[in-house]
Amino acid sequence: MGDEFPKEYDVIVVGTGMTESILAAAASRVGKRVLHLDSNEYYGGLWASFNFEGLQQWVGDCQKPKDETECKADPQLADGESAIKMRVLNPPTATNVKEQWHVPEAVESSGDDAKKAWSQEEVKKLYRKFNIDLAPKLLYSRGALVELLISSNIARYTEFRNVTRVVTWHEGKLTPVPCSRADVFATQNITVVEKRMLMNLLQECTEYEGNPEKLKKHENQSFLDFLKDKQLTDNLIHYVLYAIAMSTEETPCIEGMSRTQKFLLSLGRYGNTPFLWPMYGSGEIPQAFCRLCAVFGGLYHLKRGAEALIVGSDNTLKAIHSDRENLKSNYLVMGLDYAPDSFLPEESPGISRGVFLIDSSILAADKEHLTLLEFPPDESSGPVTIVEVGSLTNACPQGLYMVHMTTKQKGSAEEDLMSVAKKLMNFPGETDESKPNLVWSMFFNMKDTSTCDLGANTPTNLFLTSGPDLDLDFDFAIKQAKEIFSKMYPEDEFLPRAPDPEEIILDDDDEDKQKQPEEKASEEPQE
Amino acid sequence: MHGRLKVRTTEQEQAIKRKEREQKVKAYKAAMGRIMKIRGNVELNDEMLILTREVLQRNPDIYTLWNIRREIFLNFKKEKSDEEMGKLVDNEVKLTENCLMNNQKSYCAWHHRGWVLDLHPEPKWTKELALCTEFLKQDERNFHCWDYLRLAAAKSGFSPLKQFELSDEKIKDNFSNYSAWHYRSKLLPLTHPDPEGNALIEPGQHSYELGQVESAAYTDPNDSSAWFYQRWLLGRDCSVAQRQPPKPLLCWLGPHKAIISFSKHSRLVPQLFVDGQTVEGEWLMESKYVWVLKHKIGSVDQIKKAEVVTEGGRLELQPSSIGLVAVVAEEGQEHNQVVMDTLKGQLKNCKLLLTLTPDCRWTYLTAVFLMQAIDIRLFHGETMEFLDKLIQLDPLRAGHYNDLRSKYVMEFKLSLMEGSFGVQESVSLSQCHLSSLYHFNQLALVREVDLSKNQLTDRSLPALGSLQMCRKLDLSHNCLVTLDSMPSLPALEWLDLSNNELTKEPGRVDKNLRNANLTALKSLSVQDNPCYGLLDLEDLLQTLSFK
Repeated sequence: MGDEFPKEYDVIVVGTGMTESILAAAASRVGKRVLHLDSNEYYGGLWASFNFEGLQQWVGDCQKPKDETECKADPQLADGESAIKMRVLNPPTATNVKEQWHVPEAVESSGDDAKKAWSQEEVKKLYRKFNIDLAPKLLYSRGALVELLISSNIARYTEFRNVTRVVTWHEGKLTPVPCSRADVFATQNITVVEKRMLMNLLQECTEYEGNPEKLKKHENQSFLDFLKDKQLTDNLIHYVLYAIAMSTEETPCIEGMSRTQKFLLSLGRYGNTPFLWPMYGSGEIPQAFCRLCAVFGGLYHLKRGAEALIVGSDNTLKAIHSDRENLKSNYLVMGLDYAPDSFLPEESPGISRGVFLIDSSILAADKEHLTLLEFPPDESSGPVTIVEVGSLTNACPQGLYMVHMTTKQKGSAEEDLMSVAKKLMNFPGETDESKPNLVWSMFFNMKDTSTCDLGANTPTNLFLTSGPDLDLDFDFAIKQAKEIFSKMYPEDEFLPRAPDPEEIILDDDDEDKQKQPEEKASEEPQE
Repeated sequence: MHGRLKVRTTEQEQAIKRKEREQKVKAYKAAMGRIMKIRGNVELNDEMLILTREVLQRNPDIYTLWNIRREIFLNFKKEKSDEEMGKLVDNEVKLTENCLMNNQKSYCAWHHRGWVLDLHPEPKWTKELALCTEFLKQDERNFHCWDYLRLAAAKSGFSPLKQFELSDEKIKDNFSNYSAWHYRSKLLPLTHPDPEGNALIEPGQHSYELGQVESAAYTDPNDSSAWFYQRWLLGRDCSVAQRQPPKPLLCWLGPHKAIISFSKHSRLVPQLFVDGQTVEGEWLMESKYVWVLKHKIGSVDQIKKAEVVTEGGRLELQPSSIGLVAVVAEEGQEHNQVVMDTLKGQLKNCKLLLTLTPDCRWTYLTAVFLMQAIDIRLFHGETMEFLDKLIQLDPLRAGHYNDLRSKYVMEFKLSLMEGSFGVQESVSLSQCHLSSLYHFNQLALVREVDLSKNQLTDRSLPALGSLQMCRKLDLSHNCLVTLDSMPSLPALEWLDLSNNELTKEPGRVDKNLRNANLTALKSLSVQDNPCYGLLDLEDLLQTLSFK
């Protein structure tokens, strides 16, 4: 392909994480020439989902020592231009990676025991059945991503399952939280009077903006105090504060109300909880945007990165040097994990992640659930966001459940998450029958760069994008993508609706034939 | 590649849609023309089936076409073998399924499906149940489907308990579902009958159901579906008595006349036996509840045994000051102790809730229903107070609350008389805020009724038809406008209509009175009405007495 490969672009995007992919799609959609590179052989970067084997590979990569050598690139430079060389390899920026088995390598099949005894061998055999997220995220049914997927028509490339229950940890055990009308009606955990009080409160939170007078009263109050003022019982306060508003005791009242409102407004659109989970893992979402980018002519090249950046004397980026070629571009968008050290912000907070395979649900029920659990903070840990998925999400094989934990980093991921993990599952040697048994676990830390100023040290037409953030949803990535897009193309619409294949006319004056063109006939992503 | 994609403008799209629609209309007209032409021509049955199928798949609501297909299928039934018939019906069932996919609420398609499946030599009704479950998954409130489910369940012998579980599941999904609650009310007497036979539903289950309603009500008080179910659970329809035929409550036999007042609307003509002989004469239904017999017996003093026989039982009459009478107290709705405890608990919760969220009209209303179900005498004052509050909170439904009050006032008054109402000389209901009349069947033998100073309107007049023994009736200070629906009151001698709003529309009231069967009337007052002065009372009374 060498000779035909175009040398000039409007935008070059390096990295296929969430923000980068949205930007690539948005630029391509309004007719810009886009080149999208990723030095990995998979999409998504720190947002990727892997099968079990792919994950092993990733863990291996993470544990390699950081290679500081620079590329040997020797790009041609014009007057006044200089080259910033990139590192040879970009090992994933995850740290404190610890993967561990909790079952023997092999077990002899013990006939038809009630509970299957898992072995490493057996799990590995099923490696294709896994889609393990590095950055598991949910979508609010009326959140920014759902609206964007619909308005841009990218939804046609995606598939979701409803989160079926919201659970909380209260008084030393797990309890489902009644959050929809149907739940409140059916639950036997609270009295009828509590039901009315809960519904009244939820109603008030959905309408709070319309009542500025009342709002003033709560301005300096915490959400917890507000709930106490309402004379809610302890049960209800716990449900609302931790599970619905996903807040802490310090959360200010207005923020708590707004979080509650966000939760409630998303209820009932697609199901009994406000949340959607991307089938086949969160890593599917950036890929859906890449696909749109390709359909509108974006060029894709995996296993290819930039070896050097060519910057003019006016501190603007002129081109990138990649695979012995200079590729010119008006703009460069780059995932933070690719950026040369000189661009990086000094300090950024971190995220602690845990992934656990267990042999039954953390809260057994008569059908398979997709569970969200906001584990309330206590002495030993901050609030932990927990998502448990089963085989129906195609994220893990039948008979196993995968638990994702995410929390703000304080120590190592293992230190931050172990106490919560111990409460929910049996580690080897423990035999509490009400808990699932741990099969395999992994801990790692990654940086949360969502709060950093990424534009400080870069050429003016180079935009860095941050990796996964702590929030439950993808909203931050969308917000960042919109901001960068409006800096690049203030006149253009951000991801207008893409036509369906049947709306596309291939031949202007041949309307009556109504051919249905293959939607991406000549525009397969190139790899 | 850029710029190659072109999207149809909306105008282009509209033009295409218009064209499609025109073609559809053309095709429809052609098909219907042909159908009407070959209708009844048995040789062309096959073509007919194809044509009607084509049209119905596009629009399943043309019932004429389904009827044509039914004609053909009835013919098939005579001539085809079981095997052929089975295949034909299978295809037909598939057709309805296609139609229902397009329109899940097509009356015709649902009906035809049930009808044609009956022609199948081995109908598989259990498969229909699966279909219903599938459709209910898509729309749990599709009442067409609920109806069809009932049919399929009956035909397939699907156990009521299983059906009950289904309704349970659907209500859990979304309790705002009239169909599911209603379905439950039909199933409960089958799945959970009272082993003692005293109630329609086993008391434990009755309590559980009340709990379900309470849960729904407290979750979303503005959803009315559960409230309707609650009224059923607390009301007369959910009692053993309601399943029994109308019972005679009051009987009277006097010279030339006999009166029987029933517990509810009775359609069957009663019978009266005197000393073993049927009494001949003309029976007339004077109000929904009251039958009157004109007979030839001039004196009842010598009668040894008089007996009334009705669909609801026999009753022997006893001598009294006003003739031969029989009086039976109407049984109130007596709740079992278990249910009663539940009701009391719920009332307590209601009152607690009123302190937490004051001014919620649903809480007041529920409290009213509960209090009436628990003890009408003990809670009379509070009931009235709550109804006043409701009228204030919810003025749009003031009429409804006023009617409820009228009903409860009447029940309270009757309870005070403790069964002696039948032999009361007079009953005063003056200044009771009555806006409508309830339980007047129980006043069929009262001689004087005072309804003055209430808020009665024309719509209450028919209920007065029960007052067949009444001589003196005071309707002054009410809101009557016309007397169009004045019932026949042949015993009435004294009628006070003063201080109403009787219309001055020329001749209207005059005509009303002249036409009414008020043959005994001797005194009539219409003072302080718009029509006063337009009436010639003397002439009127004279005309009435000549009738």
